Amino acid sequence: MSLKEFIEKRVKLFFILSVMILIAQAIIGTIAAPGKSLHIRYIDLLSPLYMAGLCILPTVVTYSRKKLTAKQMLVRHAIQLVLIEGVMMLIAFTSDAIDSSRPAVLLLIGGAVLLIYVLAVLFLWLGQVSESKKMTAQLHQLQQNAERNETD
Amino acid sequence: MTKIERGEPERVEIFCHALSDEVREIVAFVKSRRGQLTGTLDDRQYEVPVTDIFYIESVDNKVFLYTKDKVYETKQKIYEFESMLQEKYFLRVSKSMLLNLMKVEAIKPALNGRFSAVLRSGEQVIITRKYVPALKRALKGDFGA
Repeated sequence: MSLKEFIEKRVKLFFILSVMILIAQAIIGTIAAPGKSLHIRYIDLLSPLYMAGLCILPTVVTYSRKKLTAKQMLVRHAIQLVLIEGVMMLIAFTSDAIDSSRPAVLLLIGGAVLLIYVLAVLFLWLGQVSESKKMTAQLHQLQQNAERNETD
Repeated sequence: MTKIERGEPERVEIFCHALSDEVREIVAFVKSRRGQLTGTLDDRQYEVPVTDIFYIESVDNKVFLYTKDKVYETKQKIYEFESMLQEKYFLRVSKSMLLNLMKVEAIKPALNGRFSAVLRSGEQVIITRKYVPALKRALKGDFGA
């Protein structure tokens, strides 16, 4: 994968993560502090964006100019997940808005990171499935046209 | 070049001092235009119809022609085949492989942002990310570089 392709893929992932972190914040907040209203500054609305940005940084471990085998890729993805969990725990422990003294909150964050990670991988995979279906349809059309040209 | 009567068979004659790589290239080109490539199998030479070839692969500086159930070695280089077989719907899908798109059943996603081509023989070959844009253009009928 070239650096340009890698960056393009990271940008796509950044937007997927931003949306999913926002949803996760709402769900975790509803579970951990039901009925509690939020008093936040406008700047705090950007928190899903900077969290997604921080989570993108560890994905650099999956970049390689050489072709990676399936096993090498799986190992790198596992390292990436551990690093992302680490980043999110660091945010949880340093943020005033998150009650990191409650193990349940940390567990919810850890679980949410895992879930978001799996969903992000799934969304990217589904994008590729749809792209390959489109290419297969175009291929069949090309083959039909070529056969028609041969018989003419 | 001599113009001949309609009934006479067309032919190409080459007069050369030695069978150099350039001459072999010209011979391969003429054969490919006729729809055949020369391949060696068990020390015997065969004329392999281009339409029978699933893909052409370079392995350890040797180039092989893969048909449904046979593998022929050829003296030509991958890059020579690339332009020669473009109009026969052959496309480079990795650094070492030219794929006959007419022999592809489906395209599926593979790991690490790559795609794989499922051939009509059931075999799967990897399409590397670098060649995906060219594949997309080819699928729209644009086989240019």
